[in-house]
Amino acid sequence: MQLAAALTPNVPGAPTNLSATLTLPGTGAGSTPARSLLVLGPRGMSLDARGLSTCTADRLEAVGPRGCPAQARVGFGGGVGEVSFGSERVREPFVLDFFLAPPTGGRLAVLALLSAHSPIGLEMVLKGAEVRGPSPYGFGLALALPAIETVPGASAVSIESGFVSIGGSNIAYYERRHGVRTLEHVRGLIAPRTCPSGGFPFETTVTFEDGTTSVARTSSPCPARHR
Amino acid sequence: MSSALLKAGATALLLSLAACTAPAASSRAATTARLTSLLSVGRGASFGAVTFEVRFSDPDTAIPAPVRVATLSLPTGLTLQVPRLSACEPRRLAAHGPGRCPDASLLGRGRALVEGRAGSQVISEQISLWAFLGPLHDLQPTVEILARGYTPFDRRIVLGGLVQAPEGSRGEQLVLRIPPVRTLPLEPDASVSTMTLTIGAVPGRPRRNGNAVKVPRSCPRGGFPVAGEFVYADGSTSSAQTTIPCPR
Repeated sequence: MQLAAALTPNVPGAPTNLSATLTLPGTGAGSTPARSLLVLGPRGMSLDARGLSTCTADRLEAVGPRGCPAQARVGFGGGVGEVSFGSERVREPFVLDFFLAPPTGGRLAVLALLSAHSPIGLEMVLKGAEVRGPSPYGFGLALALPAIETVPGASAVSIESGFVSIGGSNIAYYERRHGVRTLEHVRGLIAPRTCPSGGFPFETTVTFEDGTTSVARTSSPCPARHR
Repeated sequence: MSSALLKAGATALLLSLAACTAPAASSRAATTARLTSLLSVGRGASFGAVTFEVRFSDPDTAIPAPVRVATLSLPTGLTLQVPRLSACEPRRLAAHGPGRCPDASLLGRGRALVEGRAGSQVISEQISLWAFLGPLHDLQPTVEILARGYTPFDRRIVLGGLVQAPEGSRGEQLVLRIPPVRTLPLEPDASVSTMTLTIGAVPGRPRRNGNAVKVPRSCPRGGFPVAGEFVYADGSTSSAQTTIPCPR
């Protein structure tokens, strides 16, 4: 399994965007579907949810992305899955829309709407929650991946590769405060205040249907003056 | 008659909307452009403003391909008059916005709609444009256009342009280079879907700096021809023509 991740910009303590790509092993005939995804970011990374709204899974399922407030959107993604048709495996592209959900148990919650159109059309809401990882990690997200059946008797959809882009450094919106229209900047994802030697560490763990796991690690470089 | 109407009559604002907006003569491009031009000249006046409106579209996708180079050809005889040469440095424009540029360097204003994709949605942003005279480049005048958008992306981008002198039957050309408009990592570059730019002084709202478009005394049969050529990020090209009817 291969993981690549980057913080843009990589300025310590500043609002940033996390972009990551993941390529899973064992693609092709008989590949095992994934059941959960755990992504851990560097210690000190945080999500400043001030100014952000939330969306519920029910509303996202019923209305789609347009049913959620624009300020609830925290990122997007996509990738390629594999679908079984008899003995033939067919690739299926999908897109992901990430929204902030109401916190559960004091922890941030995230919803991801997965949409695919061809060769099979499907739309489903994936649920994720904030987790805290061991050092040198900190902020992380755990995402449950339900089994996606295609036709009776066929194996479930498996993921070949995926990418996500969470947060942004220049996201702003207008809000009326005391009758005055003001431009508010969303801080969103915040880079850690310090960059460890070797860069900002990231780790992802994929748990497959058969109980096996696969782990990949990578790091995002520190800004030039911090190296 | 109301004072507003009296003013309108005295100014005798002549708005000549191009009647013939030819569809883009596309050459191997999926994205096409539609050009409309407007000439605003006070009655009896020889100076005014010219407005270009370009609409990009792609029938196969929700968002047109990003345009990289836009060449707008002015009709012969229609020239930009700048009484006092004063330039705005692009770095100053990018860092401080339009307020720090010399007033004499302002050439015009405009608006644009920029669209980008994020997940399954198309996100659009209204952009304000300011056109300034830039420093001379190889003794050719340059134009710097500040594009400023606030939400959802708070960004400020400076587009560089060159004014090419008339040659043969061709009038002055404004060549604009549009840099890739990054939005978020892994997201495709944003595209300009419409752009409206007015160069010169609109009658009734004269510019203090006197920068204006000079309108020739004679008008060719059928009006002033205006053309646009566009190069897109995918390497394809398209062109569009239109005509500004002769002022009456």
